[in-house]
Amino acid sequence: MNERFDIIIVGTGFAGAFFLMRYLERAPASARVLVLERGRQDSKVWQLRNRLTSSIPQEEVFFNRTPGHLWLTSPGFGGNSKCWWAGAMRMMPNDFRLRSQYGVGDDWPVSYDDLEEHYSAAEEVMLVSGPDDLPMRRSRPYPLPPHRLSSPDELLKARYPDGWFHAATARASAPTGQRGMCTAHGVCDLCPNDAKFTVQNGLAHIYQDPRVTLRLESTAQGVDVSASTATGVHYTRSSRAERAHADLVVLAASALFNPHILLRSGITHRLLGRRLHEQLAVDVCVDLKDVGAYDGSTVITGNGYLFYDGPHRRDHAACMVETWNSPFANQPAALRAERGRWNHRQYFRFIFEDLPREDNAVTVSPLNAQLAETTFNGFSDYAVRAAGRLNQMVDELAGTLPIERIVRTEQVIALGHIQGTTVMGRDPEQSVVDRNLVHHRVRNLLVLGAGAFPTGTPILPTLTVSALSLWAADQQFARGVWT
Amino acid sequence: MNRRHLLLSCAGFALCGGFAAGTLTTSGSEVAGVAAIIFKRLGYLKLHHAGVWEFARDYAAKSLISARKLRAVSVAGRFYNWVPESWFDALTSDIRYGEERIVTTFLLSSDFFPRADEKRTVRYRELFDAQRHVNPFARLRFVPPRGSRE
Repeated sequence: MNERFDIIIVGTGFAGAFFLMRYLERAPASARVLVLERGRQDSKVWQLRNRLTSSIPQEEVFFNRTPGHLWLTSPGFGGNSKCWWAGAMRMMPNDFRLRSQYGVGDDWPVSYDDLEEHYSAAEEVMLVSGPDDLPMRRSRPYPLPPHRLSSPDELLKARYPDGWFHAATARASAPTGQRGMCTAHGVCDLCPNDAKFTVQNGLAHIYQDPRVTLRLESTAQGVDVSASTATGVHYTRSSRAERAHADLVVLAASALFNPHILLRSGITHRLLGRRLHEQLAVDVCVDLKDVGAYDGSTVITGNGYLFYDGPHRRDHAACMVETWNSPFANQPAALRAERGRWNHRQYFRFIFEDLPREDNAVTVSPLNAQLAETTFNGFSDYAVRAAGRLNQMVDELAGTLPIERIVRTEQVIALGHIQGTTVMGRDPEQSVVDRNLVHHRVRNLLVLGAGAFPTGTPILPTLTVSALSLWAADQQFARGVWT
Repeated sequence: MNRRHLLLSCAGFALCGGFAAGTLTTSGSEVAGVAAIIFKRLGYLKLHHAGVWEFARDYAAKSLISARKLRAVSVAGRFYNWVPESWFDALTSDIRYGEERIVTTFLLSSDFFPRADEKRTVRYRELFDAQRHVNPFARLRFVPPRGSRE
């Protein structure tokens, strides 16, 4: 079958869905969009019944050569929106200018101001709840009010009014009409209230648009290119080879699979697949003297920015602290088995930015070309140096919180924030895509998602991924591509 | 440490080691291990004994932690109170933590929370499932619907 479309989008996660949403807002009624999704449409009921976010095991889609570090992904309609924990904070302005400000890493080819409006738009779609007092400029308030802080958060907020904030999150702090309210179950990958934003509960309608053809269980095998122009995508659907043609091809299949598709298409680049990274995170559980925790209204209640930005970034990485608000579930937390002190314990996650290393990569598996293969040789010295200061950071918190002792310190082996691999930049020699996420060489090919991130800031990537997709769609309109 | 203490310690460790090795290499009773941990760590509460055993059976059946780890915690946990914490701090903290995970599940599976009344008998209800039960400490905030901010 050879069909013709205006656009082919590969993937239905955040990157593809936000791009499609913005395109449909302005596209003519005659527009035709093909969306390819390798997985199935695993309904929320199916997910809850099976306690899984995807009916496709990860082993069927990629091979991890270095399993000491795990890469979390959830194939299927909605992509990683099914399994994310809905942290929806913005990056800090200096995150975009790390090189020019601090002389390390790379500058992003876009600035905070470029993305601000798109951050706001993505927050509106996700109905993010958050505070009014975060330090970065905002053009609009958060759509929903912030969740309730826990008692340790309140102490920290009182001590650090400009350094400790309510966590910005797409776990609804009020019923939205589409989603229930977060009731702090602490199992956000399979939220029983459907309180977190997902593509399924927030953007499924765009796939019902008559201009859109959604093909599930359709795996992109490669982008067809002729004379530096993408002409379409060849893919398999129920083991049958098919091909579709389009004026524009958009890869939005995540930082694991976008490079895999490009590598198999022969659209190579020195950095393609390289700089695979996510943040270095360390969980710290502390016992508190006479302060009860776990009493906020969602699973992560506070974000500490006091170790984030400043001259120290010339030497070591920024760190953001999360206050976890659950005594159970997917985390190394437990009640304190002492009379009357059940919740006198706090669990923090310290998230350190990373500077990508070129020896961490996604490649095509030599054993089975259908599989992406990941290799991770460790974090940058920059991140490790910062993590080495963990005890000083805990000491700083202990100046406010009555910390009796550190119960447990544990490095996190997977965050699910897969970044790098199709890095963005102004120099075609040093980056795969430009500031509009257009491939430097194939100018009608967009590569969306966190693969474009030149550096791995401490901020969870999803809101930035979504904002960048809106930005990329707007740039196509601005360039007159779709007039 | 004087010579007598050293000899006594060595003898103690040999005894413990032998016992532990024997227990760890047999199928052992994970159920008994779980129950022992609950009774030990929550000895100051009034526990409904039959309920503790029922919890232990449900817990072991669910394989919430590996049987091997469970036996290890159950065996080593009996001794850690006798070992100076400075000697085996990392080991004992791991054991204490493993026990606390079990105690946490038990308390959340019981009628203890939210009142946390230590004078009442604690009764097991059903195995805690975060999909169906909430964090008992959470102070949920019933905010106005979308569109109105506080």
